[in-house]
Amino acid sequence: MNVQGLEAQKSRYAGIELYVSEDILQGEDVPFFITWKRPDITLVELRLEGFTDVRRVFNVKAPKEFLKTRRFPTNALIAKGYLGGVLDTPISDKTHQNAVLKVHFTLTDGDIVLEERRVIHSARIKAISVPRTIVVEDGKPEHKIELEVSGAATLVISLRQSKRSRVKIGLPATVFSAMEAVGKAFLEGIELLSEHFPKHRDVLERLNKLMEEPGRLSPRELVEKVHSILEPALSDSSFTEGIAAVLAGAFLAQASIRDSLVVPLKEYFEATAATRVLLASPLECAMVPAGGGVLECELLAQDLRANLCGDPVKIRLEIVAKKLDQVPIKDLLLIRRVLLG
Amino acid sequence: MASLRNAKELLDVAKELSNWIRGEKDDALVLDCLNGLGVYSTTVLVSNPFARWAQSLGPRSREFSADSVYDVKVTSFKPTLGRIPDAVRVEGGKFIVDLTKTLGLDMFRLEVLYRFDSEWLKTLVHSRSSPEPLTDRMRYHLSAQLTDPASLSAGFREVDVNDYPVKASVHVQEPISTALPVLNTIKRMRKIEEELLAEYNPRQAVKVIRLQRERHTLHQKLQRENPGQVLQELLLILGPSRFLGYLQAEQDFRLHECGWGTDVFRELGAVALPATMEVITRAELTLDRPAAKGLLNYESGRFLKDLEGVIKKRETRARRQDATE
Repeated sequence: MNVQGLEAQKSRYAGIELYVSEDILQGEDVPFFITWKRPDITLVELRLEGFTDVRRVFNVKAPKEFLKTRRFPTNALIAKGYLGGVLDTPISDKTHQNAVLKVHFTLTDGDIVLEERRVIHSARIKAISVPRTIVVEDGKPEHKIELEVSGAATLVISLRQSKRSRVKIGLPATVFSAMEAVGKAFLEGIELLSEHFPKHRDVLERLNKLMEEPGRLSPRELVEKVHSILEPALSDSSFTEGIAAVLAGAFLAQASIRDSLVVPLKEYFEATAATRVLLASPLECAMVPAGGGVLECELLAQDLRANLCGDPVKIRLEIVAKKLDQVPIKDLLLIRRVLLG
Repeated sequence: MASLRNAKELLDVAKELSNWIRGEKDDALVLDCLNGLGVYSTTVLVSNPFARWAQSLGPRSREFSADSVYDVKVTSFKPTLGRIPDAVRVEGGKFIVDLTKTLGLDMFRLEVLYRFDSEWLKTLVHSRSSPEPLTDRMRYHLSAQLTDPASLSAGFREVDVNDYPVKASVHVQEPISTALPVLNTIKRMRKIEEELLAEYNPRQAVKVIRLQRERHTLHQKLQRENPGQVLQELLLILGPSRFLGYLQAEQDFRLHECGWGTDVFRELGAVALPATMEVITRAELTLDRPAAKGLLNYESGRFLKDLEGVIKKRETRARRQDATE
């Protein structure tokens, strides 16, 4: 095309903007909008490839009726020069899918088409090799379970142990004692807080009650419970700051847990590797009884929107240890990511 | 405290006011999201003697229950410029507007500032920030658009949604993990322990003693290094106002503030370090510009460098201490 042709082409599309949001995870609602500042557009038609549906449209007089055909005459729009909406994305087995929004404009003298291409991302995890037996000595495994992640999305991995599993999954005792020490200091802090924030006394009392008997719940459940108790009061920023200060204070005051503090810090730093695969509980260990036993569990992978990414990976293997031992789950796993496409 | 929960309520109030005031009027509605206030304003032009006469007719003062009203202002534009404080007074929990004070004016504006419900605002605007950067590791995509311009536009020449907030979750855990503070000592200790455990040869006693000695020194160093202090320094870097320095908003969005995400590293229930920072960016939406798009850039490289700086400083200090002892 010569320069004149290009200029003519450019002016034909002048004053129209099509936007489709980017970096999409499977199942997400994806907003789009079209704006234009020209009077010659009479009809806007949406055509989808890869997106499953137009869930909602904005600025349309009778949206339901027009959504059936996805054809929007400009005289059916309320404010001039604007059509917005939300696209549905599919959930599938694929790690990435292409999707296109094509917008067909009918003008008073012909028509033009604009399109935006997007990739809908996900990720899948699969076991490459699961050793039949892993020998553990002083917390160190001789072999690892090899996993492969494909796709670009960040994955959060959690473990669900089978009732039959003789090797149980749990937190090491040092972590529990550290928690106890911090919990105690935290309780003292809470009492102080209730003097300063009488209007949140209710919340603090509920928290106090919970912290006095934390043994019933797993650490994760405990933290979630604490969070749900605190939530209604968190809109009060000075109270939130107070809670944060008490928590940090409780933690930093514990000279005795200095060594065990190092461990969680390290785990925090190691929880996310360059593979962008996070362990939901990076401190969890496989508790191996003396002589060893069978570890039977399922590995669940979720993306950041908590969509399950593929079927759970079933793991069954024997862990052999001469004496009672514990091995961090993260040390049992070797995760590689392959990016496709 | 009451607040307006839908456009109809607001429009009813505006209409009532507009009918009350005579003259050539220009009605506008501004939703100030930063302060949670809906500002209805009407600018009145009294250009001729007839209009001036019409102005003097009918009731000249009006009460507003102070319940959902935050403030009422009357401002003169012509012939003088400035707020007319006498035109509004507060009595028994009510705002009373007295327009006799505006009788000599050629142009004035009445503004009524209402508190509005933030949930209502969410139904007016659809927004998104990308859940994680997938194509460019440093960019989050932002967008916001009016869902129902009609509900706002009725009766107003101008509708502005100012500072509409869009929240993005920026993942910070990864750069922190790469920086590996204090843990070089621990790593070396672990390595020594591995070597010690792997050594079965009784003739290697000298090596074992050397390793044991090094382990002892490292342990002492660790006691001094005090991971609690490293945590404190980390907390400083992760302080919201400091972290804002690593972020920029582009195109239609402006950076407003940030705070820790709720998905803090939870496992221990004690070491509270955030996995994400929640960043609030803001954009303007108007009837003329009903949609906004933008980017949030996160300088993870510089953040990582600064983290490493903290660790290096600490290590140098520890080394200096070692040398003096």
